[in-house]
Amino acid sequence: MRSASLGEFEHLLLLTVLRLGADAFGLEIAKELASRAGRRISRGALYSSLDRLEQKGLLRWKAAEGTPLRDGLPRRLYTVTASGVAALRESRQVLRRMWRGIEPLLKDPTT
Amino acid sequence: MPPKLAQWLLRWTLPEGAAGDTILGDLLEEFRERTIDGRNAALWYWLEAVSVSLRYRGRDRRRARRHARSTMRFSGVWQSILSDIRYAGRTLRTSPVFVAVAVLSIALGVGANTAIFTLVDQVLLRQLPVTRPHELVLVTVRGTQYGSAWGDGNELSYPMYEDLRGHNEVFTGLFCRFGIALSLNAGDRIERVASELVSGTYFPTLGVTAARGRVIEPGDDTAASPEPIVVLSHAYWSSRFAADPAVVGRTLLVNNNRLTVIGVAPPAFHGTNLGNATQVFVPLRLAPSVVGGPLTTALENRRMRWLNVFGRLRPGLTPTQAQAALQPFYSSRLAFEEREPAFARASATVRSKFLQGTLAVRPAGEGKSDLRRQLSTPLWALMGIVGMVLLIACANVASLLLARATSRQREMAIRLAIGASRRRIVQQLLIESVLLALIGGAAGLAFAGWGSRLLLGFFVSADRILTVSTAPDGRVLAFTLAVSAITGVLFGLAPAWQSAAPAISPTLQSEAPSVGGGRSRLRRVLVVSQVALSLVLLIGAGLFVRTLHNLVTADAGFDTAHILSFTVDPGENGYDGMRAKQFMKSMVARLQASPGVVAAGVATQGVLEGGSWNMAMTIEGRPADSGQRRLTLNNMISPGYFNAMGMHLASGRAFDDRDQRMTTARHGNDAFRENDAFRVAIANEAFVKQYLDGEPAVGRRVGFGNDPGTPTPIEIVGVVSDAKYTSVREAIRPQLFFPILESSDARNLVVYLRTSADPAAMVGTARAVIHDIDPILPLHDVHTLEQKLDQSLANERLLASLSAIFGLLATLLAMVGLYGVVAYMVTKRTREIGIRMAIGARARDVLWLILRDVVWIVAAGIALALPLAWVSTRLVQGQLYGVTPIDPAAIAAAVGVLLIVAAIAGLIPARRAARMNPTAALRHD
Repeated sequence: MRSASLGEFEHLLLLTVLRLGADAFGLEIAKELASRAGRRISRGALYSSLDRLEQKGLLRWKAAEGTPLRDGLPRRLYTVTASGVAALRESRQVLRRMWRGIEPLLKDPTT
Repeated sequence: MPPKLAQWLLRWTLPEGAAGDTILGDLLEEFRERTIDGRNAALWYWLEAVSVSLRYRGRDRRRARRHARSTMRFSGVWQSILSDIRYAGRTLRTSPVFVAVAVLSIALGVGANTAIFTLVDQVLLRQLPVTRPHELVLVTVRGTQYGSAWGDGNELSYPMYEDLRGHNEVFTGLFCRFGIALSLNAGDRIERVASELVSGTYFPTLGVTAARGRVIEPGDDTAASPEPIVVLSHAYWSSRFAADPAVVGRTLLVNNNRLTVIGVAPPAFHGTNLGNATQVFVPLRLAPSVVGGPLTTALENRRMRWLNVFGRLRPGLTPTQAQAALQPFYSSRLAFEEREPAFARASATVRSKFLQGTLAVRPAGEGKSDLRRQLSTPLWALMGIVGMVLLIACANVASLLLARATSRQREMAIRLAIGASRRRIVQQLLIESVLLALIGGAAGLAFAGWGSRLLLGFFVSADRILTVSTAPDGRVLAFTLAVSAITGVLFGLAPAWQSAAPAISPTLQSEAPSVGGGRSRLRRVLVVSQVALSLVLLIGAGLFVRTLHNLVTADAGFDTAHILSFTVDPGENGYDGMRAKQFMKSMVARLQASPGVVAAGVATQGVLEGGSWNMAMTIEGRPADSGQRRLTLNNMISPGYFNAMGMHLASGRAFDDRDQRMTTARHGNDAFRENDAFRVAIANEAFVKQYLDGEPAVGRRVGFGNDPGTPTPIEIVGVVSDAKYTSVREAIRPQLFFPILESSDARNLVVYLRTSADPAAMVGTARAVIHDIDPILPLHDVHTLEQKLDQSLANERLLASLSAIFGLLATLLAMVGLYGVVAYMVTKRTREIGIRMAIGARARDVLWLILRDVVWIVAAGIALALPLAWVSTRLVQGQLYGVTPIDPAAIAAAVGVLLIVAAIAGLIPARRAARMNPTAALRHD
């Protein structure tokens, strides 16, 4: 199977979910993105990106029980699927290949 | 909770089931976190709700199918309406100036209405956030009272409340409460908090449960010794303790009593008094120790009335039925009380009047609200005023539409000629006007948000915590939508009806100018009513402005410009009896010695604050006629008070060091004990005039109480100049002053400093002096007397400025209408004017020809307005001061303003007519 290419934001999202492990709930994902990646995004953009990754089969979620602070409404616990992990590795490979030999060229970009 | 409307938007757009619920949950959780952090959560929630809804809109296929079905069912009508809306949008876009003028008119009208409605809704219509608020009733008593009271005079005693609760067939629950400011010390500083002393049935009867810990329960009433506990409001817990869960279980010092926090009330609940949000709830049983003073014996004392009693009616019962069912029992309790020893000295008249007392039960779903009582008339008056402004704006837009209809006659005639039905044309024109109104309404909403914040500024004083918010919610949006839609129909109906009936063939043959007759008659009627309405508003504004002027310039009897006042309560740091009096003496001495202070004085009752201490007195040698009482407004003061206030002695002497009793004799709020406490008093001139017929007062003796045989041990030693007491509005009443230093205690000291320079600059000095004596004792209510006066006139200032603004706005709108009609008339009569000029009419004649019409319109407007004003100003008579509802000056000023503006509006087109070139005019078609 040819893995789908990942956008930068999708890449960040998948990493965030992996990093959070058993705490990968919607709200936590938003907070982690803000604190670690400095990305503040609207909730609308967040959920539609998560939905897109789910449709691509890279993420899946199951409903977990809610806390009283949210009136018992359920939470989405996200996990990265096997193809999600594969896509991440693939994406990293591509980036590594592309970066190879670039650094010396950045020293003096005007020449 | 997050904004309701935004939540509703989310529910509507998000998919059903867990997929949607998880998102709702995330947003809710984050909203609460932000609320606790004190960030603007509502705005954030709105933004995110919109961003989420935009992404999810139309994703749910099931919803899309449902929508498709409903469109198909109504497809005929919907299709035509949809295409009319599209057509209306296109037509409006072609005349941007017309749209701008119309939208601005409507926006001003709707915006003003929405702004006032926001306040009317929140202050007058909102119910308490409790279970089934419509079942709640307030139980009050009427009739003669024998004893003392704390409150507005309709309260019950605690034993009477217990009697009612024990003998109750009409309520499913009964509770009582008492509102008071207490001082609270959480270890770091002392501050005043708005508190309610509540019975154990308070929370259960309201159906309010704790957000954390527990609330006060019925068991707290019956325990042998009441537990020292306190419940915090959610807002106070969040702001003062940063929503720290560990506060539950902590001990706080409340009026120097150690109370344990047992819980936090839910977020939306701010107690039972709108306009004064409760911060802490304390069990009523603690009143004797926590409040003390007059409440020391209040739980057993039937002669002390102080409690607001609320009940929850049994389902199906009306307040009237409940009242009828309770009255016999209440009468029997009065008879029981009248046989008690406390009545031993009461006269027969007093006894029989006392026995006639009645009970009143009235709906109280909105709780007890002094703010409501105080703002009810001004707010409804303003609602009426902005309603009229909207009508005038409507008339303007209708007038514009009529003029526009003239230029669209051909379009209508063509549509009719090719087979459009009259109904269809009316529908299309109405849709156009409703669309216009909705755009105006949306713009008005923006005005309103800004306007109601401005309005609230008139009401909010620093020492009052309001639960009123100006954020538009679902109710306000619905109101605006409804008003705009009705407005659209209102100003669209007549023009639409008229436009749909042109005579087809002459119109198409381009003889249009001859068929505008009915239209211009209608426009004149509209302008006459605009002139009339705006004149009514101007007259009303004149009355309110004169009222404010009279109040501001009224002589209060004080040197208002140079007085700083603040309150200190030595009791808050544990001083009582002798120590409190010592504190007061040294405080006054030190303040007096401070540079910049001319004089310092203290009173226990602040002036112009609405409160009063009044008593029926007995005057030696001046028995009152039967049934009449010698009521006086009293105050306890320190030596130096009159100097500080700028009042002067008319005869006798002021209080000095002779008038103190530095012993610890106790007394309560009881008449006969007061007769033991005071030896001297000072009367004001009104006392001498009303109760002594001007005879010399010095040396005469008085006593508290009016029972036969009341002793008169207190000697009047001086007479002082008259000054106001509760408010500037009141007439000056007989007053008596007593020396604080002869009383048992010095609580709640209102300090007045007369300063040589700006009093506001002396605040630092005052703080330093108090801090020097006691570093943790706080100063409350620090303000200059001028600020206090300003604050006490907030309602009058609100009415005066808003009615003036709206009056002028209405006049401007009316004049735009007048100008439009006159200008149209000039255009229509151009050819006639040309002929008249050609056969010798001079410019002056032409000017008069046009102005004659203006005069007629204005005269008709005035004739219509005067009776209207005569009726409507009577409705606000209670708000006036020093003017009658038919004040000639106010009417003359209003007519003057109208005439000037009308002259301008009429002269511009009239002069254009007079300057016309006759040859060009004759060529005009």
